Amino acid sequence: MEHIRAVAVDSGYNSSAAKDAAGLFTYARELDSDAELYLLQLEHSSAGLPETDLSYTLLKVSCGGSVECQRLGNILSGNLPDSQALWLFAPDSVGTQVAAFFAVERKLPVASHITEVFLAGDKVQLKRMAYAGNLAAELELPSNSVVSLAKGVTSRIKNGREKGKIVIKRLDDIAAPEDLKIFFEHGENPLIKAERVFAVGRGVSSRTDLERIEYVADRLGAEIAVSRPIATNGWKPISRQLGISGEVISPEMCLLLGVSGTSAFLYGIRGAEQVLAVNNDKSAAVFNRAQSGTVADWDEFMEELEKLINKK
Amino acid sequence: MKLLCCVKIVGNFESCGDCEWEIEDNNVDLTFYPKQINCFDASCVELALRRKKDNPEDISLNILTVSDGSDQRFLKPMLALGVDRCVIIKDESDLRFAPASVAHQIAEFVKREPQDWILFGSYQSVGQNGVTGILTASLLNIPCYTGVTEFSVIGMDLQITYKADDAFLTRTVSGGGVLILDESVTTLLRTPTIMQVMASKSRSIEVEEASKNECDYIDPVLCSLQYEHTENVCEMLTPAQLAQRVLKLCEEGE
Amino acid sequence: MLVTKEQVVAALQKIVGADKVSTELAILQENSHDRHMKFQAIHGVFPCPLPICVCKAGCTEQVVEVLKYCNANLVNVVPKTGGSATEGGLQTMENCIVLDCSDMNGIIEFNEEDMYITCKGGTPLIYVEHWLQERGYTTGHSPQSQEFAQMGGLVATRSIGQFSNLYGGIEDLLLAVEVVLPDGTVCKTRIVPRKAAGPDVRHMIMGGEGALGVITEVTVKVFKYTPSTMWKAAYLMENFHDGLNLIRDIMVEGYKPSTARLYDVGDTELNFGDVIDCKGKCIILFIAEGHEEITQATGKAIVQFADKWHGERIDSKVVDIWMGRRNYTDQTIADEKVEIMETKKVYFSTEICATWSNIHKIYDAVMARVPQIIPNLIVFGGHASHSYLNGTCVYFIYQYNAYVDDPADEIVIHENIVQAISEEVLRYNGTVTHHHGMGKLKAHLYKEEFGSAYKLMERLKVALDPNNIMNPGCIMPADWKEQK
Repeated sequence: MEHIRAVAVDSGYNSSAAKDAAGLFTYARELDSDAELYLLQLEHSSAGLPETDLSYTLLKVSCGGSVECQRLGNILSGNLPDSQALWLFAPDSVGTQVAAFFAVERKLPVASHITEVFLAGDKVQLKRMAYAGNLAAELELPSNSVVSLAKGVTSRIKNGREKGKIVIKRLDDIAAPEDLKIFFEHGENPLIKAERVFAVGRGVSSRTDLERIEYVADRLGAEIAVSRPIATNGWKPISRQLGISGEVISPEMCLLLGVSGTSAFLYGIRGAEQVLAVNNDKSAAVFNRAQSGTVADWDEFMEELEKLINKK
Repeated sequence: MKLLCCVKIVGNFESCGDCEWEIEDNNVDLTFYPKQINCFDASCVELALRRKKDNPEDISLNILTVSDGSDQRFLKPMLALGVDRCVIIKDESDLRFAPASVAHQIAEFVKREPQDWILFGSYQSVGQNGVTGILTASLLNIPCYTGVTEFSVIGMDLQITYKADDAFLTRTVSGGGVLILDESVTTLLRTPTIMQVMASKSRSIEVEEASKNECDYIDPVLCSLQYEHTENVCEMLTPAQLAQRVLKLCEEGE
Repeated sequence: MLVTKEQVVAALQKIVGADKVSTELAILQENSHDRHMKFQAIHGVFPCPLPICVCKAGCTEQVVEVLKYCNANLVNVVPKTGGSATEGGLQTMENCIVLDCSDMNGIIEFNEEDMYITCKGGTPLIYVEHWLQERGYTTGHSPQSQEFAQMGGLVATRSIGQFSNLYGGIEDLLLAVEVVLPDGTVCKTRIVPRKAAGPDVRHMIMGGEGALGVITEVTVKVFKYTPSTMWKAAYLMENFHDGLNLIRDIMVEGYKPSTARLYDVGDTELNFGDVIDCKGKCIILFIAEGHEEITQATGKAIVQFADKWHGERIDSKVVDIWMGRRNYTDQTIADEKVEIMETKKVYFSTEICATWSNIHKIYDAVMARVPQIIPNLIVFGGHASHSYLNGTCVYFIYQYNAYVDDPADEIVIHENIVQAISEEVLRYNGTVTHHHGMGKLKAHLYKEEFGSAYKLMERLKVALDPNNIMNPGCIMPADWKEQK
């Protein structure tokens, strides 16, 4: 069986980079207790270091603010051990791209958006969503391959652990393009760190209704997320959309209101610990995911919740 | 400037809603399934058409797909929209989870007919592989720019905007290469008018045979395709009971 | 109007409660139009005068008081339920309120022995249908707007569903109705299978499009629901005329498939081009419902007729595809919004009806004339989906790129198309509206549409709404009296 080497990439523009890295390291060590751990961190990052008691190698590189995934893949290839291993990369978008560039540089097979990894002798078995998230494909690669994980796969790591031993290695600088400009459209998405989320689906049919739910969510300290029809309607920005082509979140509690429960949407809450669902259709797929639920109109449920809140 | 958009025709899985998935021998029969150009590839073509519209004399836009050739009617509208060529590389093997094989065919085509810029959508919705463009760039030994959200033409160069996690970066790139769009780009592809369709009636899709040369990379082996049904028992409550549970969980979390 | 807008709002708040009267700008804008002006609304343009307020009535008594007040003070009223109208019937005008009855939502009675269900006027059809299906019954009424439409509005527009060949239109389904007239009089018809006590007054109210009163209660028939015995088939026809002839044969010989749905070449490509290679032909879909003996006999006859007209049978999975995506949903409406914003591509339909001897001529005349006047036309076609012993309905569909500087200008394109279709239809003695209603879009054609019977319509309007407060401009132009 091949050894595992896990590589997290901090692009400098991912506020959850440290958490993603900690999650990857834990995931890798659960597969292989001797897994070697690496964090490639671009110097302009302010994300901090992962809070983990696992030891890892920190590869620091200065890119003048740019993020050149192909160059980063090349650099990693030149600075990581040559020997055979199963390479695991973290599930952020830059990490996925760097993984593929690293793979082609090393002429290794590569698979991305992987949801499960099983080691099987000289092969590795992988699972990935397929057919727009409706089916699961099981794939097999030689164990000397590169795998990048899908969003939401690595576990949530709580704060407060002691830091493990870090070996720092400085890599050669990458010159930034002369005309490079950097800008940000919005700040960090509050859904990513939210512990309580109210997710609203097409069963909620007006902006006024959504505002009512938002008001209650706000009183309970919950963030609002939406399914695709609501985001397409423009009632909430696209950053609030959950699902395979939206955000993938791992709150402690997720309340689903008027959500039918398509596979593509449910992927977006794959990490949620407690899922509660309200839908007036008893055969709605959402009840296959929720731990508890009620067959009712969402406004009937909201009235009950509002009564309880107002009593307090 | 020669632009090549690589596209795939896939099932329109979202339009089917709750249909049953009939899987036989790890295959799904899509004979009567609604199909469309993969939405990310369609965005690619639309952005390229806009650039061509800005520079009709200077830009030649070609469309390439690697498939079994049964999807010509989905490519014909692109001829009507004014692309210069539509080419199918005919390959009847199972390409759903074979990005290396697809990249190999694309690379072989480009070696025969050099292009300046090769454009890809972020991933196709059947296999959801997401690495075809990167493999193509590697096979051709050319630069590759990922996470692209927009591009414009400046002479023979491109000014690109690309996404790196939460940031957007812009820069000029030159000398040709591969552009891969970010998955957040979902620009709709325009539909040709009847006049455009009639004007393009005599134009046809070109079909070329797949290259038999060996590919430098290997593809994963598909072991199984399954519809995953979770055995979950949902505790059904009254609205009032569920509301109490929600309130309790919210209070516990504070 | 005899009062100020503020007085209107205050008076209505007293009747229905302050929280049921809205003067919020976004709500007024949303309620100033229907799907005829979807292009404008999506671009944030609202060409119609905004209503004074949107007033939600919760019961018949509140509707009575609201109408009494409006009638006495000459405040115009636009009644509304689901809001899925397409011909401008819900467009607002100066000095009007929108009377929204969607809170009048509930099943009042389900009588299994007598096979009917009574609902309040604002009850969603989809709710009624699901409720009945759980009990083994169906309304048989399945318009494309099923997910949005409400019972009162379905009666007000003389709506029809996709299985009408068997179940009929709303006029066949309606057993009884309660209406509140503009002066506050409540009229409720009795539930009997048939009667001959003078003219059928239900038909005075059905199709009134809010111009004669407000429908507050609806009783419709229910049918046994037998999806397991459905017979389905699909064919490719060489041309639209052969398909029409095939449908005529079926109807004239007395067979009643619930669906006999024929698409011409353009409409076939639009609706099924992503599923099968239509080979430049016309698809026709059939569904027969009922007991197995009936469905099998109907199916056998259809096969024979289809052979006679050289239909090429294709896999009936195509019927399942159509069944799965035939209706508007929240997602399709949301997707439409994005498509219009990004591509300016807009889709409309105009449904007409004529006898067999006229329908072929109408189809040819419209296809020859109308596509020429539409700029940036993407598709123009039609389908026949509601047929009778004497003729059929053809839905003309059209999609074009509305490349206009001002979104309001798109209305002109659409209205030109409707006018051209209407002229050809009237020339060959067809009706300009099969089931969407006249709305305000076609109201100027009422005299040609009614023929000399237009006087009946005018006198009905005067008799029921002498102050002309109910949805003026709908069915007949707002100034119809002055035009005389």
